[in-house]
Amino acid sequence: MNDACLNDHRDTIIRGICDCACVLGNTLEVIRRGNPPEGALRLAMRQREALIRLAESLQSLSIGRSA
Amino acid sequence: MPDLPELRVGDCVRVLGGEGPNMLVDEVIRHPVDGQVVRCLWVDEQGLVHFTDHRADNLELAGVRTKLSAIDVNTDRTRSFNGATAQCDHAHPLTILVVEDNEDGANCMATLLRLYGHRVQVAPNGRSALELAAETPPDVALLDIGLPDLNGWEIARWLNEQAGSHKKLPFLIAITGYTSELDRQRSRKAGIGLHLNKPVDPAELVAVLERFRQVIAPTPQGDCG
Repeated sequence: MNDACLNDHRDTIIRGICDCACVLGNTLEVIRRGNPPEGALRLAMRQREALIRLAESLQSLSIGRSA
Repeated sequence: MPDLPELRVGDCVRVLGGEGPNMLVDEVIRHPVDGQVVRCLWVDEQGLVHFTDHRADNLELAGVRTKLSAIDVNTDRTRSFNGATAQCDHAHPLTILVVEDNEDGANCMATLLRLYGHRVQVAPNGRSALELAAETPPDVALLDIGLPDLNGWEIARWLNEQAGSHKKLPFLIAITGYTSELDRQRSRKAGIGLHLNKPVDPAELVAVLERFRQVIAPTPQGDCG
């Protein structure tokens, strides 16, 4: 993978992380308001799992770059 | 000299005496000695920079000038970004179009905004955004930029073009992971009034919406807790 591709891939991952953080923030605010809809906790957990996957992708990208 | 409103970045302003849009102040400059506002700056739906100088003659930055006395400013100091405004479930909800292809993101944003009393429609792509906006012109559109068909900038241009026929200019906010200065410039050129980077602090977003709502439908003092 060349540098341009790596950068694109990295940007995509970062945008994914930002998406997850945004969803988490909104979900927590909904929960904080005290009237969370059914599934709010599941939604938060899904974002956590997605964040972990994205972090792993970012790590492997760093490994690929340094190899 | 008119009494100057207490301006600060993020305040919502409206140009008086016309069908001026509502815009958020991007920059406030205070006099170095007495701290009074001497200048403010905002960007309109055409991407033109409005620039106001209160003390000296108006200075020109991009061909558009407005006297500070000719704008209406909502600067209720009791409202802040700490979420206090969130307690206001008002009688004048905003109609908000959320354009977001991330299903979880769109749904939780809609849930959040409905909790604050707004009417919300969700569009997962550009085409459905245009259809929904044509049926029900929104007061505010929250636009993701990276979408599967049209991008957020194209949607913004279309919404601004349509605004003339509806006589209702929506306040456009980009909420996006596209964060470069070039992306911000594109937003301005597309007529997006505010470019927010993900992740957005929900309390900040709610406060911005409340200030905008106050400009288009002021709530008598004391109505909000």
